[in-house]
Amino acid sequence: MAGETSWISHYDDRQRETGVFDSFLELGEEGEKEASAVSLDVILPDDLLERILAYLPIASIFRAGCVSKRWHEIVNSGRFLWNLSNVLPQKPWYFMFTSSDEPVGYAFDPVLRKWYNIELPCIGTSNWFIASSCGMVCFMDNDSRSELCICNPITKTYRKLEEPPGLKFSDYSALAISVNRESHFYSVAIVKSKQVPENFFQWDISIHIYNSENTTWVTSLTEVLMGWRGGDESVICNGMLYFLVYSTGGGQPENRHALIAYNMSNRSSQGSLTRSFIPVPCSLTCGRLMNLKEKLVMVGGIGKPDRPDIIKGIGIWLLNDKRWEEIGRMPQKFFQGFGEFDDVFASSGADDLIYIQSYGAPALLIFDMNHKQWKWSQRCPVTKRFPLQLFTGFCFEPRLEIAP
Amino acid sequence: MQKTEGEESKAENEEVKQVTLMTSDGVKMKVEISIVYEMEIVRSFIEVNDADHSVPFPLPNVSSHTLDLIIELVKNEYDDEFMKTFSHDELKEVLVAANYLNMKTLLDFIATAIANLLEKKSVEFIRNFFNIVNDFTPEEEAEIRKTNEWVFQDLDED
Repeated sequence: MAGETSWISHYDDRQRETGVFDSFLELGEEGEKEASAVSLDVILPDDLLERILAYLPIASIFRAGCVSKRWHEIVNSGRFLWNLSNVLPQKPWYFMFTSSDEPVGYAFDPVLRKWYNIELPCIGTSNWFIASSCGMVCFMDNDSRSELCICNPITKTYRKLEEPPGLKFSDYSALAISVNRESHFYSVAIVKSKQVPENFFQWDISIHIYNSENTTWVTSLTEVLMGWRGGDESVICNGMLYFLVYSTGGGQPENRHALIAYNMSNRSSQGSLTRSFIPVPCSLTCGRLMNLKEKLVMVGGIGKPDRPDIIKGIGIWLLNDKRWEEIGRMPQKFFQGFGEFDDVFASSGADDLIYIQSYGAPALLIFDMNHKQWKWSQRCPVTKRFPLQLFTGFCFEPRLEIAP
Repeated sequence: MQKTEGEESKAENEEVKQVTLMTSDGVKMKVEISIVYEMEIVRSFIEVNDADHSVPFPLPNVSSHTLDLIIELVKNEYDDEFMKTFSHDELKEVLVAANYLNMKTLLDFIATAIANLLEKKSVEFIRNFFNIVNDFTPEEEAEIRKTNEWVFQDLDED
Protein backbone atom coordinates (compact mmCIF):
# COMPACT_ATOMS: atom_id res chain seq x y z
CA MET A 1 0.00 0.00 0.00
CA ALA A 2 2.75 2.39 0.94
CA GLY A 3 4.32 1.96 -2.47
CA GLU A 4 1.06 2.62 -4.18
CA THR A 5 0.45 5.88 -2.34
CA SER A 6 3.84 7.19 -3.17
CA TRP A 7 3.32 6.28 -6.78
CA ILE A 8 0.09 8.22 -6.97
CA SER A 9 1.58 11.44 -5.68
CA HIS A 10 4.51 11.04 -7.99
CA TYR A 11 2.19 10.33 -10.88
CA ASP A 12 0.18 13.47 -10.15
CA ASP A 13 3.29 15.60 -10.17
CA ARG A 14 4.37 14.32 -13.48
CA GLN A 15 0.96 14.70 -14.95
CA ARG A 16 0.84 18.34 -14.01
CA GLU A 17 4.22 18.92 -15.54
CA THR A 18 3.34 17.51 -18.91
CA GLY A 19 0.53 19.29 -20.58
CA VAL A 20 0.88 17.05 -23.61
CA PHE A 21 -0.06 14.07 -21.53
CA ASP A 22 -3.14 15.82 -20.17
CA SER A 23 -4.57 16.51 -23.57
CA PHE A 24 -3.65 13.04 -24.68
CA LEU A 25 -5.63 11.55 -21.77
CA GLU A 26 -8.58 13.81 -22.40
CA LEU A 27 -8.79 12.71 -25.97
CA GLY A 28 -8.77 9.15 -24.72
CA GLU A 29 -11.55 9.86 -22.29
CA GLU A 30 -13.74 11.57 -24.83
CA GLY A 31 -14.88 8.31 -26.30
CA GLU A 32 -11.94 7.44 -28.52
CA LYS A 33 -11.42 3.70 -28.33
CA GLU A 34 -7.78 3.76 -27.32
CA ALA A 35 -4.57 5.63 -27.92
CA SER A 36 -4.19 4.38 -31.48
CA ALA A 37 -7.51 5.88 -32.47
CA VAL A 38 -6.09 9.36 -31.95
CA SER A 39 -4.69 10.55 -35.21
CA LEU A 40 -1.09 9.40 -35.14
CA ASP A 41 -0.35 12.33 -37.37
CA VAL A 42 -1.01 14.67 -34.44
CA ILE A 43 1.31 12.96 -31.97
CA LEU A 44 4.09 11.96 -34.36
CA PRO A 45 6.79 14.62 -34.26
CA ASP A 46 8.45 15.57 -37.55
CA ASP A 47 11.73 13.90 -36.68
CA LEU A 48 10.05 10.56 -36.00
CA LEU A 49 8.11 10.76 -39.24
CA GLU A 50 11.32 11.65 -41.06
CA ARG A 51 12.99 8.63 -39.52
CA ILE A 52 10.34 6.32 -40.98
CA LEU A 53 10.31 8.06 -44.36
CA ALA A 54 14.09 7.92 -44.62
CA TYR A 55 13.92 4.13 -44.71
CA LEU A 56 11.61 4.16 -47.73
CA PRO A 57 12.70 3.59 -51.32
CA ILE A 58 12.52 6.65 -53.56
CA ALA A 59 9.22 5.87 -55.26
CA SER A 60 7.58 5.44 -51.87
CA ILE A 61 9.00 8.77 -50.67
CA PHE A 62 7.38 10.53 -53.63
CA ARG A 63 4.13 8.76 -52.79
CA ALA A 64 4.39 9.84 -49.15
CA GLY A 65 4.63 13.41 -50.42
CA CYS A 66 1.04 13.09 -51.71
CA VAL A 67 -0.42 12.09 -48.32
CA SER A 68 -0.98 15.58 -46.89
CA LYS A 69 0.46 19.09 -46.91
CA ARG A 70 2.53 18.35 -43.81
CA TRP A 71 4.05 15.22 -45.35
CA HIS A 72 4.66 17.03 -48.63
CA GLU A 73 6.58 19.72 -46.80
CA ILE A 74 8.64 17.16 -44.88
CA VAL A 75 9.78 15.11 -47.86
CA ASN A 76 10.77 18.29 -49.70
CA SER A 77 12.58 19.89 -46.78
CA GLY A 78 16.32 20.40 -46.91
CA ARG A 79 16.75 18.72 -43.53
CA PHE A 80 15.00 15.54 -44.65
CA LEU A 81 16.95 15.35 -47.91
CA TRP A 82 20.20 15.92 -46.08
CA ASN A 83 19.41 13.18 -43.57
CA LEU A 84 18.35 10.91 -46.38
CA SER A 85 21.78 11.09 -47.95
CA ASN A 86 23.26 9.89 -44.67
CA VAL A 87 21.15 6.80 -44.10
CA LEU A 88 21.39 3.61 -46.09
CA PRO A 89 22.17 4.52 -49.67
CA GLN A 90 19.79 3.28 -52.33
CA LYS A 91 21.18 0.72 -54.75
CA PRO A 92 22.03 1.98 -58.24
CA TRP A 93 19.30 1.70 -60.88
CA TYR A 94 19.58 0.82 -64.55
CA PHE A 95 17.80 2.83 -67.22
CA MET A 96 17.06 0.78 -70.34
CA PHE A 97 16.22 2.56 -73.58
CA THR A 98 13.47 0.82 -75.46
CA SER A 99 13.50 2.86 -78.66
CA SER A 100 16.33 4.07 -80.84
CA ASP A 101 14.38 7.11 -82.02
CA GLU A 102 13.07 8.57 -78.81
CA PRO A 103 14.92 8.60 -75.47
CA VAL A 104 12.22 6.60 -73.70
CA GLY A 105 12.51 3.54 -71.54
CA TYR A 106 12.25 2.03 -68.11
CA ALA A 107 14.38 2.29 -64.99
CA PHE A 108 15.01 -0.81 -62.89
CA ASP A 109 15.13 -0.60 -59.09
CA PRO A 110 17.10 -3.64 -57.83
CA VAL A 111 15.79 -3.32 -54.25
CA LEU A 112 12.10 -3.48 -55.03
CA ARG A 113 12.92 -5.39 -58.24
CA LYS A 114 10.58 -3.18 -60.24
CA TRP A 115 10.69 -1.30 -63.53
CA TYR A 116 9.49 2.29 -63.62
CA ASN A 117 8.48 4.21 -66.69
CA ILE A 118 10.40 7.42 -65.96
CA GLU A 119 11.08 10.29 -68.35
CA LEU A 120 14.60 11.62 -68.80
CA PRO A 121 15.06 15.37 -69.09
CA CYS A 122 17.27 17.04 -71.77
CA ILE A 123 18.33 14.01 -73.80
CA GLY A 124 17.59 13.94 -77.53
CA THR A 125 18.03 10.32 -78.58
CA SER A 126 19.27 7.12 -76.98
CA ASN A 127 22.56 7.31 -78.90
CA TRP A 128 23.69 10.43 -77.03
CA PHE A 129 26.79 10.06 -74.85
CA ILE A 130 25.92 9.30 -71.23
CA ALA A 131 27.96 9.32 -68.03
CA SER A 132 26.81 9.25 -64.43
CA SER A 133 28.12 9.69 -60.91
CA CYS A 134 26.48 10.02 -57.50
CA GLY A 135 22.95 10.73 -58.70
CA MET A 136 23.88 13.06 -61.55
CA VAL A 137 23.73 12.04 -65.19
CA CYS A 138 25.51 13.88 -67.99
CA PHE A 139 24.26 13.77 -71.59
CA MET A 140 26.10 14.94 -74.71
CA ASP A 141 24.64 14.98 -78.21
CA ASN A 142 26.14 12.68 -80.80
CA ASP A 143 26.27 15.09 -83.75
CA SER A 144 27.99 18.33 -82.84
CA ARG A 145 29.16 16.94 -79.47
CA SER A 146 28.84 20.39 -78.01
CA GLU A 147 25.40 20.17 -76.41
CA LEU A 148 25.88 19.07 -72.81
CA CYS A 149 23.43 18.76 -69.98
CA ILE A 150 23.70 17.57 -66.37
CA CYS A 151 20.53 16.28 -64.73
CA ASN A 152 19.11 14.33 -61.86
CA PRO A 153 16.85 11.81 -63.64
CA ILE A 154 14.80 11.26 -60.47
CA THR A 155 13.95 14.86 -59.57
CA LYS A 156 14.32 16.00 -63.21
CA THR A 157 16.32 19.08 -62.26
CA TYR A 158 18.91 19.89 -64.94
CA ARG A 159 21.47 22.40 -66.08
CA LYS A 160 22.94 22.97 -69.51
CA LEU A 161 26.70 23.34 -69.76
CA GLU A 162 28.39 25.74 -72.09
CA GLU A 163 30.02 24.34 -75.16
CA PRO A 164 33.29 22.49 -74.54
CA PRO A 165 36.44 23.81 -76.25
CA GLY A 166 38.37 21.90 -78.89
CA LEU A 167 37.37 20.25 -82.11
CA LYS A 168 33.68 20.22 -82.78
CA PHE A 169 33.56 17.20 -85.01
CA SER A 170 36.01 14.74 -83.57
CA ASP A 171 36.09 11.16 -84.82
CA TYR A 172 35.72 9.75 -81.33
CA SER A 173 34.64 11.26 -78.01
CA ALA A 174 34.49 9.80 -74.53
CA LEU A 175 32.45 11.41 -71.76
CA ALA A 176 32.95 11.02 -68.00
CA ILE A 177 31.60 12.76 -64.89
CA SER A 178 32.63 12.67 -61.26
CA VAL A 179 30.63 14.20 -58.40
CA ASN A 180 32.23 15.01 -55.07
CA ARG A 181 30.01 13.28 -52.51
CA GLU A 182 30.57 15.95 -49.84
CA SER A 183 30.54 19.23 -51.74
CA HIS A 184 28.42 18.02 -54.71
CA PHE A 185 30.77 19.90 -57.05
CA TYR A 186 31.38 17.93 -60.20
CA SER A 187 33.89 17.54 -62.99
CA VAL A 188 33.07 16.52 -66.55
CA ALA A 189 35.82 15.19 -68.81
CA ILE A 190 35.76 14.73 -72.57
CA VAL A 191 38.51 12.88 -74.41
CA LYS A 192 38.46 13.76 -78.10
CA SER A 193 40.32 11.86 -80.84
CA LYS A 194 40.75 12.97 -84.40
CA GLN A 195 42.86 11.38 -87.07
CA VAL A 196 45.67 13.59 -88.35
CA PRO A 197 44.72 14.22 -92.02
CA GLU A 198 46.12 11.64 -94.43
CA ASN A 199 47.95 9.81 -91.69
CA PHE A 200 46.27 6.71 -90.36
CA PHE A 201 48.80 6.19 -87.57
CA GLN A 202 48.69 9.61 -85.98
CA TRP A 203 45.79 10.75 -83.83
CA ASP A 204 45.23 14.09 -82.13
CA ILE A 205 44.08 13.44 -78.59
CA SER A 206 42.76 16.23 -76.41
CA ILE A 207 41.34 16.19 -72.88
CA HIS A 208 38.85 18.86 -71.82
CA ILE A 209 37.71 19.20 -68.24
CA TYR A 210 34.77 21.18 -66.87
CA ASN A 211 34.68 22.07 -63.20
CA SER A 212 31.36 23.14 -61.67
CA GLU A 213 33.12 25.07 -58.91
CA ASN A 214 34.40 27.72 -61.31
CA THR A 215 32.01 26.80 -64.17
CA THR A 216 34.72 26.77 -66.80
CA TRP A 217 36.21 24.39 -69.31
CA VAL A 218 39.95 23.85 -69.45
CA THR A 219 41.78 22.01 -72.19
CA SER A 220 44.20 20.20 -70.00
CA LEU A 221 46.08 18.14 -72.56
CA THR A 222 46.68 17.86 -76.27
CA GLU A 223 48.95 15.20 -77.66
CA VAL A 224 49.54 13.17 -80.80
CA LEU A 225 49.38 9.41 -80.30
CA MET A 226 51.19 7.10 -82.71
CA GLY A 227 49.37 3.91 -83.64
CA TRP A 228 46.62 4.38 -81.08
CA ARG A 229 43.33 6.24 -81.05
CA GLY A 230 40.89 7.07 -78.31
CA GLY A 231 37.38 5.68 -78.28
CA ASP A 232 34.15 6.39 -76.47
CA GLU A 233 34.91 4.71 -73.16
CA SER A 234 36.15 6.64 -70.15
CA VAL A 235 35.53 7.01 -66.42
CA ILE A 236 36.80 9.12 -63.53
CA CYS A 237 37.93 7.29 -60.41
CA ASN A 238 39.60 8.90 -57.43
CA GLY A 239 40.84 11.91 -59.37
CA MET A 240 42.17 9.80 -62.24
CA LEU A 241 40.64 9.89 -65.71
CA TYR A 242 40.84 6.46 -67.33
CA PHE A 243 40.08 5.84 -70.97
CA LEU A 244 40.47 2.96 -73.38
CA VAL A 245 42.62 3.35 -76.49
CA TYR A 246 42.57 1.13 -79.54
CA SER A 247 45.45 0.07 -81.74
CA THR A 248 45.24 1.33 -85.32
CA GLY A 249 48.08 -0.80 -86.54
CA GLY A 250 46.95 -4.42 -86.49
CA GLY A 251 49.24 -6.15 -84.03
CA GLN A 252 48.40 -9.07 -81.78
CA PRO A 253 44.76 -9.39 -80.64
CA GLU A 254 45.70 -9.12 -76.96
CA ASN A 255 47.43 -5.85 -77.74
CA ARG A 256 44.59 -4.19 -79.56
CA HIS A 257 43.36 -2.34 -76.47
CA ALA A 258 45.06 -0.48 -73.69
CA LEU A 259 44.06 1.67 -70.78
CA ILE A 260 45.40 5.17 -70.20
CA ALA A 261 45.41 6.67 -66.72
CA TYR A 262 45.51 10.46 -66.61
CA ASN A 263 45.84 12.37 -63.35
CA MET A 264 43.28 15.19 -63.59
CA SER A 265 45.01 17.43 -61.09
CA ASN A 266 48.31 17.21 -62.95
CA ARG A 267 47.89 19.39 -66.02
CA SER A 268 51.43 20.22 -67.03
CA SER A 269 52.95 17.03 -68.37
CA GLN A 270 52.76 16.93 -72.15
CA GLY A 271 53.75 13.77 -73.92
CA SER A 272 52.95 11.71 -70.89
CA LEU A 273 50.10 9.58 -72.18
CA THR A 274 52.19 6.85 -73.76
CA ARG A 275 54.00 6.39 -70.48
CA SER A 276 50.79 5.72 -68.61
CA PHE A 277 49.62 2.81 -70.82
CA ILE A 278 48.25 -0.16 -68.92
CA PRO A 279 47.80 -3.30 -71.07
CA VAL A 280 44.41 -5.01 -70.84
CA PRO A 281 44.36 -8.59 -69.47
CA CYS A 282 43.26 -10.32 -72.69
CA SER A 283 41.75 -9.77 -76.11
CA LEU A 284 38.60 -7.74 -75.43
CA THR A 285 35.34 -6.86 -77.06
CA CYS A 286 32.85 -4.34 -75.72
CA GLY A 287 35.26 -3.23 -73.00
CA ARG A 288 33.55 -0.88 -70.56
CA LEU A 289 35.01 1.07 -67.64
CA MET A 290 33.17 1.84 -64.44
CA ASN A 291 33.74 3.39 -61.04
CA LEU A 292 32.68 1.09 -58.24
CA LYS A 293 33.29 2.87 -54.93
CA GLU A 294 36.26 4.74 -56.41
CA LYS A 295 37.84 1.52 -57.74
CA LEU A 296 38.29 1.12 -61.46
CA VAL A 297 36.47 -1.92 -62.84
CA MET A 298 36.44 -3.13 -66.43
CA VAL A 299 33.90 -5.47 -68.02
CA GLY A 300 34.52 -7.04 -71.39
CA GLY A 301 33.96 -10.00 -73.68
CA ILE A 302 36.85 -12.45 -73.76
CA GLY A 303 37.64 -13.27 -77.38
CA LYS A 304 38.52 -16.72 -78.67
CA PRO A 305 42.25 -16.96 -79.45
CA ASP A 306 41.64 -17.72 -83.14
CA ARG A 307 38.53 -15.55 -83.55
CA PRO A 308 38.92 -12.54 -81.22
CA ASP A 309 35.61 -11.05 -82.36
CA ILE A 310 33.73 -14.12 -81.10
CA ILE A 311 33.54 -14.18 -77.35
CA LYS A 312 33.78 -17.25 -75.17
CA GLY A 313 32.83 -15.50 -71.97
CA ILE A 314 32.39 -12.20 -70.17
CA GLY A 315 34.87 -11.18 -67.50
CA ILE A 316 35.11 -8.53 -64.77
CA TRP A 317 38.47 -7.11 -63.69
CA LEU A 318 39.52 -4.75 -60.96
CA LEU A 319 42.56 -2.50 -61.41
CA ASN A 320 44.92 -2.79 -58.47
CA ASP A 321 47.93 -0.53 -58.87
CA LYS A 322 48.32 -1.09 -62.63
CA ARG A 323 47.57 -4.81 -62.38
CA TRP A 324 44.27 -6.40 -63.34
CA GLU A 325 42.65 -8.82 -60.97
CA GLU A 326 39.83 -10.96 -62.35
CA ILE A 327 36.98 -10.75 -59.86
CA GLY A 328 34.20 -12.41 -61.77
CA ARG A 329 33.33 -14.33 -64.90
CA MET A 330 29.79 -14.79 -66.14
CA PRO A 331 28.79 -18.40 -65.42
CA GLN A 332 28.02 -20.49 -68.49
CA LYS A 333 24.29 -20.83 -67.78
CA PHE A 334 23.87 -17.03 -67.75
CA PHE A 335 26.19 -16.57 -70.73
CA GLN A 336 24.10 -19.02 -72.77
CA GLY A 337 20.89 -17.26 -71.83
CA PHE A 338 22.43 -14.07 -73.02
CA GLY A 339 21.96 -14.33 -76.76
CA GLU A 340 24.33 -15.05 -79.58
CA PHE A 341 28.01 -15.26 -78.81
CA ASP A 342 29.03 -12.61 -81.29
CA ASP A 343 26.47 -10.23 -79.86
CA VAL A 344 27.57 -6.88 -78.60
CA PHE A 345 26.59 -6.00 -75.10
CA ALA A 346 26.48 -3.01 -72.79
CA SER A 347 27.62 -2.90 -69.21
CA SER A 348 27.46 -0.18 -66.61
CA GLY A 349 27.91 -0.07 -62.87
CA ALA A 350 28.06 1.95 -59.67
CA ASP A 351 28.46 1.33 -55.96
CA ASP A 352 28.67 -2.48 -55.83
CA LEU A 353 26.42 -3.47 -58.73
CA ILE A 354 27.28 -4.16 -62.37
CA TYR A 355 24.56 -4.37 -65.01
CA ILE A 356 25.20 -6.29 -68.22
CA GLN A 357 22.79 -6.17 -71.12
CA SER A 358 22.84 -7.67 -74.58
CA TYR A 359 22.09 -5.14 -77.33
CA GLY A 360 19.85 -7.70 -78.97
CA ALA A 361 17.35 -8.28 -76.15
CA PRO A 362 15.85 -6.51 -73.16
CA ALA A 363 17.34 -9.08 -70.76
CA LEU A 364 19.36 -7.57 -67.94
CA LEU A 365 21.88 -9.41 -65.79
CA ILE A 366 23.15 -8.07 -62.45
CA PHE A 367 26.45 -8.86 -60.77
CA ASP A 368 26.68 -8.04 -57.07
CA MET A 369 30.32 -7.31 -56.20
CA ASN A 370 29.81 -7.84 -52.48
CA HIS A 371 28.25 -11.27 -52.71
CA LYS A 372 29.86 -12.26 -56.02
CA GLN A 373 26.38 -13.17 -57.17
CA TRP A 374 24.80 -13.19 -60.63
CA LYS A 375 21.11 -12.58 -61.00
CA TRP A 376 18.63 -11.77 -63.76
CA SER A 377 16.55 -8.66 -63.27
CA GLN A 378 12.78 -8.92 -63.34
CA ARG A 379 11.55 -9.02 -66.90
CA CYS A 380 11.49 -5.59 -68.48
CA PRO A 381 7.95 -4.59 -69.49
CA VAL A 382 9.14 -4.15 -73.09
CA THR A 383 9.36 -6.93 -75.65
CA LYS A 384 11.39 -7.04 -78.81
CA ARG A 385 9.22 -6.11 -81.76
CA PHE A 386 11.56 -6.34 -84.75
CA PRO A 387 14.82 -8.27 -85.31
CA LEU A 388 17.17 -5.30 -85.45
CA GLN A 389 15.72 -3.53 -82.44
CA LEU A 390 18.60 -2.57 -80.17
CA PHE A 391 18.58 -2.09 -76.43
CA THR A 392 21.07 -0.03 -74.49
CA GLY A 393 21.14 1.64 -71.13
CA PHE A 394 23.09 3.15 -68.29
CA CYS A 395 23.41 2.84 -64.55
CA PHE A 396 22.81 5.71 -62.12
CA GLU A 397 22.32 6.24 -58.41
CA PRO A 398 18.79 7.35 -57.54
CA ARG A 399 19.20 10.34 -55.25
CA LEU A 400 16.79 13.04 -54.18
CA GLU A 401 19.23 15.45 -52.59
CA ILE A 402 21.48 15.97 -55.61
CA ALA A 403 20.84 18.85 -57.97
CA PRO A 404 23.21 20.10 -60.68
CA MET B 1 2.38 -9.56 3.30
CA GLN B 2 1.04 -6.18 2.23
CA LYS B 3 2.86 -4.34 4.97
CA THR B 4 6.27 -5.55 3.96
CA GLU B 5 5.75 -5.32 0.21
CA GLY B 6 7.92 -2.26 -0.17
CA GLU B 7 10.88 -3.67 1.66
CA GLU B 8 10.58 -7.04 0.05
CA SER B 9 10.49 -5.73 -3.48
CA LYS B 10 13.44 -3.51 -2.72
CA ALA B 11 15.46 -6.54 -1.64
CA GLU B 12 14.35 -8.48 -4.69
CA ASN B 13 15.23 -5.62 -6.98
CA GLU B 14 18.74 -5.54 -5.69
CA GLU B 15 19.11 -9.27 -6.19
CA VAL B 16 17.85 -9.65 -9.78
CA LYS B 17 18.16 -6.01 -10.70
CA GLN B 18 14.64 -5.16 -11.65
CA VAL B 19 12.74 -1.91 -11.82
CA THR B 20 8.99 -1.68 -11.36
CA LEU B 21 7.14 0.26 -14.01
CA MET B 22 3.53 1.39 -13.77
CA THR B 23 1.66 1.38 -17.07
CA SER B 24 -1.17 3.68 -18.16
CA ASP B 25 -3.76 1.02 -17.28
CA GLY B 26 -2.42 0.77 -13.73
CA VAL B 27 -0.45 -2.47 -14.05
CA LYS B 28 2.81 -2.73 -12.13
CA MET B 29 5.45 -4.64 -14.07
CA LYS B 30 8.87 -5.70 -12.87
CA VAL B 31 11.34 -5.28 -15.68
CA GLU B 32 14.98 -6.30 -15.84
CA ILE B 33 17.25 -3.34 -15.45
CA SER B 34 19.12 -4.14 -18.67
CA ILE B 35 15.86 -3.57 -20.57
CA VAL B 36 14.94 -0.52 -18.53
CA TYR B 37 18.32 0.98 -19.34
CA GLU B 38 17.33 1.10 -23.01
CA MET B 39 14.53 3.47 -22.01
CA GLU B 40 16.39 6.77 -21.83
CA ILE B 41 13.51 8.51 -20.06
CA VAL B 42 13.54 5.98 -17.18
CA ARG B 43 17.29 5.56 -17.13
CA SER B 44 18.01 9.25 -16.71
CA PHE B 45 15.44 9.40 -13.91
CA ILE B 46 16.88 6.39 -12.08
CA GLU B 47 20.41 7.66 -12.40
CA VAL B 48 19.62 11.15 -11.15
CA ASN B 49 17.36 10.10 -8.31
CA ASP B 50 19.61 7.53 -6.70
CA ALA B 51 17.01 4.90 -7.44
CA ASP B 52 14.52 3.87 -4.88
CA HIS B 53 13.44 0.97 -7.08
CA SER B 54 10.55 0.10 -4.81
CA VAL B 55 8.66 3.11 -6.15
CA PRO B 56 7.13 2.12 -9.47
CA PHE B 57 8.10 4.45 -12.26
CA PRO B 58 4.97 5.74 -14.00
CA LEU B 59 4.61 5.39 -17.76
CA PRO B 60 1.33 7.21 -18.36
CA ASN B 61 1.62 6.91 -22.17
CA VAL B 62 2.36 3.18 -22.35
CA SER B 63 -0.21 0.44 -21.85
CA SER B 64 0.68 -2.87 -20.20
CA HIS B 65 0.05 -4.66 -23.50
CA THR B 66 2.45 -2.36 -25.34
CA LEU B 67 5.07 -2.68 -22.61
CA ASP B 68 4.77 -6.47 -22.84
CA LEU B 69 5.45 -6.29 -26.56
CA ILE B 70 8.44 -3.99 -26.04
CA ILE B 71 9.95 -6.26 -23.37
CA GLU B 72 9.53 -9.30 -25.61
CA LEU B 73 11.11 -7.46 -28.54
CA VAL B 74 14.14 -6.45 -26.51
CA LYS B 75 14.45 -9.93 -24.97
CA ASN B 76 14.30 -11.49 -28.42
CA GLU B 77 16.98 -9.08 -29.62
CA TYR B 78 14.55 -7.43 -32.04
CA ASP B 79 13.36 -10.52 -33.84
CA ASP B 80 11.70 -9.77 -37.20
CA GLU B 81 9.63 -12.94 -37.08
CA PHE B 82 8.16 -11.99 -33.72
CA MET B 83 7.29 -8.53 -34.92
CA LYS B 84 5.55 -9.88 -37.99
CA THR B 85 2.85 -11.16 -35.61
CA PHE B 86 2.00 -7.57 -34.60
CA SER B 87 -1.24 -5.95 -35.75
CA HIS B 88 -1.08 -2.49 -37.34
CA ASP B 89 -2.36 -0.98 -34.10
CA GLU B 90 0.33 -2.75 -32.11
CA LEU B 91 3.01 -1.49 -34.50
CA LYS B 92 1.81 2.08 -34.07
CA GLU B 93 1.53 1.74 -30.29
CA VAL B 94 5.08 0.42 -30.05
CA LEU B 95 6.29 3.25 -32.30
CA VAL B 96 4.69 5.94 -30.15
CA ALA B 97 5.86 4.25 -26.94
CA ALA B 98 9.43 3.80 -28.22
CA ASN B 99 9.49 7.49 -29.07
CA TYR B 100 8.09 8.48 -25.65
CA LEU B 101 10.48 6.16 -23.78
CA ASN B 102 13.31 7.35 -26.02
CA MET B 103 14.52 3.84 -26.94
CA LYS B 104 16.89 4.46 -29.84
CA THR B 105 17.48 0.90 -31.02
CA LEU B 106 13.82 -0.01 -30.79
CA LEU B 107 12.86 3.20 -32.58
CA ASP B 108 15.12 2.42 -35.53
CA PHE B 109 13.87 -1.14 -35.62
CA ILE B 110 10.20 -0.20 -35.55
CA ALA B 111 10.66 2.69 -38.02
CA THR B 112 12.28 0.25 -40.45
CA ALA B 113 9.44 -2.22 -39.95
CA ILE B 114 6.79 0.41 -40.64
CA ALA B 115 8.73 1.65 -43.67
CA ASN B 116 8.81 -1.94 -44.98
CA LEU B 117 5.08 -2.20 -44.46
CA LEU B 118 4.37 1.06 -46.30
CA GLU B 119 6.84 0.82 -49.15
CA LYS B 120 4.54 -0.73 -51.72
CA LYS B 121 1.31 0.75 -50.41
CA SER B 122 -0.93 3.41 -51.90
CA VAL B 123 -1.31 6.96 -50.65
CA GLU B 124 -4.79 6.02 -49.36
CA PHE B 125 -3.37 3.13 -47.33
CA ILE B 126 -0.81 5.42 -45.69
CA ARG B 127 -3.54 7.93 -44.82
CA ASN B 128 -5.64 5.21 -43.20
CA PHE B 129 -2.67 3.73 -41.40
CA PHE B 130 -1.72 7.02 -39.75
CA ASN B 131 -5.26 8.40 -39.54
CA ILE B 132 -4.34 11.38 -41.68
CA VAL B 133 -6.86 13.78 -43.13
CA ASN B 134 -6.07 14.70 -46.72
CA ASP B 135 -5.84 18.50 -46.71
CA PHE B 136 -5.04 18.86 -50.40
CA THR B 137 -7.73 20.07 -52.76
CA PRO B 138 -8.40 17.51 -55.51
CA GLU B 139 -6.65 19.86 -57.97
CA GLU B 140 -3.56 20.19 -55.77
CA GLU B 141 -3.32 16.45 -55.29
CA ALA B 142 -3.73 15.77 -59.00
CA GLU B 143 -0.98 18.28 -59.73
CA ILE B 144 1.48 16.65 -57.31
CA ARG B 145 0.68 13.18 -58.59
CA LYS B 146 1.23 14.31 -62.16
CA THR B 147 4.83 15.34 -61.54
CA ASN B 148 5.83 11.78 -60.67
CA GLU B 149 3.31 9.50 -62.28
CA TRP B 150 5.76 6.58 -62.33
CA VAL B 151 5.62 6.12 -58.55
CA PHE B 152 2.00 4.99 -58.71
CA GLN B 153 2.65 2.01 -60.97
CA ASP B 154 1.58 -1.45 -59.75
CA LEU B 155 1.28 -1.11 -56.00
CA ASP B 156 0.13 -3.73 -53.51
CA GLU B 157 -3.58 -4.03 -52.83
CA ASP B 158 -4.52 -2.06 -49.72
